[in-house]
Amino acid sequence: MENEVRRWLTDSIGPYTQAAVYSLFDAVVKLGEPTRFFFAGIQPDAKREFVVLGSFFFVVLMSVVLLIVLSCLSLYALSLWNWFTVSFSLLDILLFSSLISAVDPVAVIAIFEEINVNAFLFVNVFGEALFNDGVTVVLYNLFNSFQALGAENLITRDYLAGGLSFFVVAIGGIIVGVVFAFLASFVTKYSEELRAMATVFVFVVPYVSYLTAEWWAVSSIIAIAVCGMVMKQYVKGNLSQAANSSVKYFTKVLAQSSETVIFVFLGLSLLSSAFYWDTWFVVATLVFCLIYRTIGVVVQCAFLNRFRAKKFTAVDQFILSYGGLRGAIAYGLAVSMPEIKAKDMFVTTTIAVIYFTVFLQGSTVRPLVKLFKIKIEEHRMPTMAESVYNKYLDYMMSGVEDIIGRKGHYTINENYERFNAKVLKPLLMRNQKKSDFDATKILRAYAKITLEEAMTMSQAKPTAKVYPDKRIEHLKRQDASMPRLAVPSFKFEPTPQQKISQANMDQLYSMFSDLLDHKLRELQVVSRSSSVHGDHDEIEDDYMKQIAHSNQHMQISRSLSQPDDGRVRSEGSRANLSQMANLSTDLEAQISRRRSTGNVFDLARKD
Amino acid sequence: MGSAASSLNEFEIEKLALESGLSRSGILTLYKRFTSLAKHRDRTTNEYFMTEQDFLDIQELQLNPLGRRIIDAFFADAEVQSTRRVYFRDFVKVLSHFRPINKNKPHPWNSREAKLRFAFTMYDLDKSGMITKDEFRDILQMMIGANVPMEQVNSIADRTMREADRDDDGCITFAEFCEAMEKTDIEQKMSFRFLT
Repeated sequence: MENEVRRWLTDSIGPYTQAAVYSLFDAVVKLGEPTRFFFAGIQPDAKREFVVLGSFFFVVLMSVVLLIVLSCLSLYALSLWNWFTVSFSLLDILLFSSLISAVDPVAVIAIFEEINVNAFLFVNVFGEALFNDGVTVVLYNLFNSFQALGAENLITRDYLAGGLSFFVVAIGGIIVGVVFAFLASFVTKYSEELRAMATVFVFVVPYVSYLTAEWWAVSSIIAIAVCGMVMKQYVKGNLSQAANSSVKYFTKVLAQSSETVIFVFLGLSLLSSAFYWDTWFVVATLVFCLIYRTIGVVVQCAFLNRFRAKKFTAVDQFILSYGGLRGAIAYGLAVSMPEIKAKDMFVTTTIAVIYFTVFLQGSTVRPLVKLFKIKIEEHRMPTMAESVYNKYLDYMMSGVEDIIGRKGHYTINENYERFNAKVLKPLLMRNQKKSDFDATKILRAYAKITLEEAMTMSQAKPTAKVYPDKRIEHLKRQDASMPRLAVPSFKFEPTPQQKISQANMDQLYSMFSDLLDHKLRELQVVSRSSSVHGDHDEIEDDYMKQIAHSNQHMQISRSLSQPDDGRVRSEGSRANLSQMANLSTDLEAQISRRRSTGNVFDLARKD
Repeated sequence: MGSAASSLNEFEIEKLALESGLSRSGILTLYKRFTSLAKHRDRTTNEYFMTEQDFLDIQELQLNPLGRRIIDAFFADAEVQSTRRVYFRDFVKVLSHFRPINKNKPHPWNSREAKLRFAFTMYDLDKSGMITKDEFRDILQMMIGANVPMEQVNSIADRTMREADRDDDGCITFAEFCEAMEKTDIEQKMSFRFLT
C-alpha cells in the first residue's frame, strides 16, 4: 500500500510542479515594471555595459556553483570520517548538494508576497531564485549523466560541454519565453470577435512555453517568467477591460491554489516516502546550507555593490540570505534520483531541509522584517506631478547623456522605449498608431487619479485639499440654474451627518466633467473600432452566432454613431454642462448596459 | 579642429577641478568630448567654444522631445547668454550638476537643491522664476503631444498645476516644485556615476 502511494505521489508531483508555474506567472506579471529594479542602480556606459552585465550573471552563477561544491565537499569530508550511517560516493553527494542548494522561486514568492517587502528586495531574491533554478537543473542533469557514464569515463570535453550548457539553458529559456510572448500578443491583437478565446490564449501560451522549454531541455521556469513579463504590456492593451480583470483574478486564484496543492503534497510526502532518518546527516546538511548561503550572499553583494548606485545594506543581505527557501523542486529532483544506496536518506533529508526552511525561516521572516524596519512596498499612487516630472527627468537625463556622449542607462531605456513605441506596439497591439514616444504612463496615471478622486468625492468625505475650479465658477455665473448631472451609479443625498460643502460640490462637478470627457472620448474610439453588442452578453456560447450578430451590429452602430460624432465633437469639453449631461445620460446608460458598472472603477483600483 | 588640438594646461585643469568638484580624469574625458563637438575656435584666446548650432548637430539630441530645452539650459548663464558661446568652463559648470552627491564632500554646485534648480530652470522658459500654466502646458505638449489630443493635454496640465500649486497663484514657484518632488530620489536620478 505504501509503495503504491509513493508511486502515485512521484508520478503526480511532476504535473503539480508544472502547475506551480502559474504562481510564478502571476508574480511575474505583476512585477512587470519593477523588474527594471533588477538592473536599477547599475549604470554602465557603452563599453562597460556588456562586461558588467556579463560579470553580473557570472558572479551569480559562480556563487551557486561555489555553494554546491562547498557543501558537497564538506559533507563528503564528514562521511569519510564516518559520521553518517550510509556511505556514498563523491558523485552521489555532488548530485545531492546540487539539488539542495537551490532557492525555490515558488516558496520565495509564497512567503515574500505575504510580507510585502519593497520591490527592490523582492525582485532581487526572486531574480536570484530564477537563476538558481536554471543553474540547479543544469547541474543536476549534468551530474546525473556523469553518474550514468560512471566517474571513470569522464573526460575534459564532458566538463567543458557541461560548463557551456549553462548559457545555452539560460539564453534558450529567455528566447523561448520571448517568442511565445510575441505569439500571444499577436494572437490577441486579432481576436476582437472572440473575446473568450483571447483570455484562453493568455493562459495557455505561457504554459506551452513552459512545455516547449522542457522539451528542448532549456530552463522552463525562466521561459515562463520571461514570457509573462514581455507579454504583459501588449496583451493588456489588446484585451477588453472585463477580460483584463478576469485574467488578473483568475491567475491569482490559479496561483494560490497551485501553491497550496504543492505544499499539501509536500506534507503528504512525509507519510509516503521510505523514511531513513540519519540525524547527523540532516543536521550537517542544514548547518552547511545556512552557512554557505550566507557566505555566498555576502560575497555576491560585496562584488555587486561596486557597480551599483543603490547598494545592498547589511540588513538587505540578511534578508536575502534568510529568504533562501527550499521547496518542491528540490523534492521532485530528489525523488527522481537514480537508485543509489543513499537515496532514501537523501530524500528524507531533503524533506527535512524543506520543512525547516519553509516553516521556521518562512514564518519568522515577517517579524524579522518588522524588527529591522525593512521598507514595506508603498502602494502609494504617484501624484500627477510626480509622474509628469519623472518622465520629464528621464528625457532630460537622456538628452544630457547624448551631449556627454555616453550611452548610459537612460539612453538605453529611451532607445528601448522608442523602439517599443515605433515598432513593437503597432505590431502587437490593437489601435496603436506609430508614435515616437510613449505617453501611456502619464495618461494612465491621470485616468487613475481622476477616477479615484471622483469616487472619494462621491462618498461626500470632505477632503483636506480643495481645488476651486475657475471653470465651474465661470459656468455658474453664466448659467443661473444648477446643471443637472444625472449619473446613474452615484447617489449623493446630503445626509444630516455629512453635509457636502459647496467647495466639495464644485470639485465633484469638475471631476465628473473630466470623467465624462474621458468616457465620451473613449466611447467614440471604441464604438468606431469594435463591434457594439448592444443588449447581448459579451460572451455567448455559440461563437458562430456571436460573430454573425457582431457583423450585424457593426453596421447598425456605424450608422448610429455618425450623427453623434458631429454633435459631440463640436461642443468639446467647455460646452454647457446641462446639454452634455443629457447626452451623457444616454451614453452612460449604454455604457452600463455594455459592461457592469463595477468595471468602470477597476481602473482606479490598484493595478 | 586642425592638426594639433589645443589641450588644457595643468593650471586650468586644477582650477576647473576645484570649481566643479570633478576629478582630473573626469575633466579630461569631458574635454575630449567637448573638442569633438566644438567646431569653432576663438581667434583671440585660441580656445574652443560651442554655438547653438553645434548642439543642434548632435544626432541623438534631435530625437529628444526636450532637446531644445536642454540646449537652452546650457545657455542660461548670464554671461553665456550675451555672447551665445559655450566655452569649456561653462560646459563643465553645467555638467557638474550631474555628479553623484558625495555626502562627505558637499559642494555648492552639486546639492539636491542645485539639481532641482537646474531642472526647474529648464521648465521655466522665460526665466521668470515661476512656471506658469502656459509654460507647463507647452512642455507637456512637447513630451506627449504627438499622440494625445489637445484637450486631454490641457486637462492633464490643469490637474497637475492644481496639485502642485499650493498657494493658488496660478504658477509654480521653486519652493512648490521642491515640495512636489520631495518623495522622489532626485540625487540618484539626476546623477551619472561616471562623472566622479
